[in-house]
Amino acid sequence: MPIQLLSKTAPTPTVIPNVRTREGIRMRWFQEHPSNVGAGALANTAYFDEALLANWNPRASFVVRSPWENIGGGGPWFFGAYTRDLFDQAVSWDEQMPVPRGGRFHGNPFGPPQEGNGRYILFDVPRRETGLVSLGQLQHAKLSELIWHPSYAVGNSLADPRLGTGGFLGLNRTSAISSKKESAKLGGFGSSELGWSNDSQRSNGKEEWASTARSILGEVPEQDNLVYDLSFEVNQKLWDRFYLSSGSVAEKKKFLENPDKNPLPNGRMQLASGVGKAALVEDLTDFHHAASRLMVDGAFNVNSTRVEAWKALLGSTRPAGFGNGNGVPFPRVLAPQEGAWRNGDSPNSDSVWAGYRELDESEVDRLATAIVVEVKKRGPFLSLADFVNRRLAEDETGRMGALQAAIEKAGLNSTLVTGFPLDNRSSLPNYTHPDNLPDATRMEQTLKPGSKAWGAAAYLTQADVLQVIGPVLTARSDSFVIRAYGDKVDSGGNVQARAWCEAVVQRTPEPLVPDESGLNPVLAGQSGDFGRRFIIQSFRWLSPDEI
Amino acid sequence: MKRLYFSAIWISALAVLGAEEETPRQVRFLAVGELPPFRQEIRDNVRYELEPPEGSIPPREVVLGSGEEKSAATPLRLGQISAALKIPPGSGSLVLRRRDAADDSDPWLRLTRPENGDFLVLLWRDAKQGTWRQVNSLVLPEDPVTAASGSVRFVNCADVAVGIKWGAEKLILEPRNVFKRELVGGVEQAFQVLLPDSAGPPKAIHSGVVTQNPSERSLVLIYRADGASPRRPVKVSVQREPVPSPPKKEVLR
Repeated sequence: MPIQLLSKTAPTPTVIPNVRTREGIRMRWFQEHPSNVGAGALANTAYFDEALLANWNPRASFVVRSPWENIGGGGPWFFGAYTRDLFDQAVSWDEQMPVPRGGRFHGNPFGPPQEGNGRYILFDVPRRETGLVSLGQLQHAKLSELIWHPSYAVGNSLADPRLGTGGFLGLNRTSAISSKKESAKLGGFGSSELGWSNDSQRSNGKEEWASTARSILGEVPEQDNLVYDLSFEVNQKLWDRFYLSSGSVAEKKKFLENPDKNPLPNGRMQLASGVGKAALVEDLTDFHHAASRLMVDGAFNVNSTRVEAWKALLGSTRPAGFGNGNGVPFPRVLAPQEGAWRNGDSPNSDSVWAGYRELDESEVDRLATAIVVEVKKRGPFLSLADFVNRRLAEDETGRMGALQAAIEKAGLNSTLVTGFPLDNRSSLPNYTHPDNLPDATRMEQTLKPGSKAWGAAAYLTQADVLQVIGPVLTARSDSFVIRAYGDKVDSGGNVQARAWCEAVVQRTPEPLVPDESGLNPVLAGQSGDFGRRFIIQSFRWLSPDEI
Repeated sequence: MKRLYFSAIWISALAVLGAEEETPRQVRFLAVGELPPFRQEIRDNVRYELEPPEGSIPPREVVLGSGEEKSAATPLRLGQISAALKIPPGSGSLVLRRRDAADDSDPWLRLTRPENGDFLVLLWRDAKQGTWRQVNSLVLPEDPVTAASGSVRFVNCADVAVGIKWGAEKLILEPRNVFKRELVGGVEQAFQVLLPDSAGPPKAIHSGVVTQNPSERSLVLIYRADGASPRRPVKVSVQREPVPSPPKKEVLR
């Protein structure tokens, strides 16, 4: 390998470094180079196929090998979302040269720079103008510093492939389990799971690697599980317990003065009618009391099995101001830098990563139909989190939530699945790893999504849909139609008169007999608890021919 | 007598003058193409690189022959310009043989050297054969005028015409053709190499920048992606080097 001797005073290197001088780690590519793919015990398997945004967290600060990662066999020795390289031309000086576009030099997180797009816009931050109006917007939040968690945790529902033990097995739980009892006490981070080297130059004793990993993780594995289904857990906590009233204190003051003229940023938020006393700004800005003073106008029951109703809901973003108004936009970020992308457009266009997803009428129809199929299969959903999350079941419903399953079954991402396929047809083969690992391919390949581009701006996800429709969803109805019948009989039992009536009643947030806080029934769950107050919205007598 | 004496002096002077103008010429070689996939085996926890398949890389060392003379073996590596080898004046044939090849064997490469000046020989493997046993070549002059400092030469070694965007300039570069532009030292000049796309406008398959110091020159090589599972049909390599000082003149005796 020639080495160029440079002048001390005016060094002007011109010899291109040999690729064998390159060492380091990088994120895996959508298309790995043949030197890596063809190496070692997992040569020419789907070992390198990863959905980096679905099953990994590239923003994480802690990049540590968990016991549930797949490890390359025979070089390049690496694991997870990253890889080292064998000395392929694809990682040579020429091929890694950044690409100039618009006066800037660009790399590519998912491949060689020459194959990259102009911009990759993956995450959004709340804007001052809009704030947060939907829990679905929290999909952009980095909730974990651990590399093995998903990038878009909130609102999505993919099962963590680290749970699986083959097929659907393991989907009935939310945390990865250890195969060795002694490691289970350490959250899996024991030597019997993380391995050790027989080469004293690589590991100083059997425990060194495992104790180092635990130390890097602040010894947390000794008290808590760190490898678990983050999406499931956070959805479970979030969607049933929290909502976003939206609006600042000033906006809420104006809203109280004239709700019609000064709606909150989430315009569906209305003042609760029929409750005992008028709402104060202190109520609306109080973390605990705001929900007792606000109601959602036109909430949608996720247990609906009417395709037309779902179509109407899904199509509600049509006039949102994106594009030409002919499509139904589901933008991941509120200010996309590129235009609309529709299924069938080029998977390599800049809109895939910096634009927004738009559905046409037939896609909305297919999605609504597929949702109804999932509702009938999985419902009734007892809570919103129940709808958002996957089932804890060792069957198809355990892989992903109802919405994501409907999106995939409707084929809405078929172009990106074809353009960036991820081979998830079968589990990776096991092999005898020299570092005393009980299983070097524990991350279940069949539980990964079908595309490496999962999470691209154009790849429609469940969280993208929830970001739009989430604020109006509910798992139960609060308005009911009640019909009643009465008659008058004489002493002989003969009916003298009959009457039918119909009332539309609305449940309000106010308990009939509230406790001291005013928020909950005083006898919640006990005998005599009449729950929350109903008010009659309308009443009419019915004629016999209406029965 | 006086006249004859004067003529003799004149002829001698011419001979000496001619000899002084004969400067040593040199040739360099540059093989372009893709490396085969890296293969290794691990023995006793040590990685050993495996020899690539025969014909997947150029001969590691070659010997240049010109007439009765032959050079010492010189390394030949993909993407790296070889050391300069001396060649005799005037035109004639040059042959390259693998280092271990017999003197009377068929040469790996035979070409006709230009009559004057230094030159660079670009080498790439034959597309049909797909092996470095069959090699194509293109001679590029490297004299101080053709390849002066500040020059940037684009060379198309691929077997298809490519589009070039050089700043605001757009042009087509046919196979085996060259074009040259000037670039001031320290300036970054963006360029693109494009291929026709049946689905729409030509598609950029390479975007890059050429920049060079004063007293340097550059070579932008466009070549067929000839490796295993090529990611793009055509690859580009930019070679930049200081323009060598003129060699010391030697008097041939």
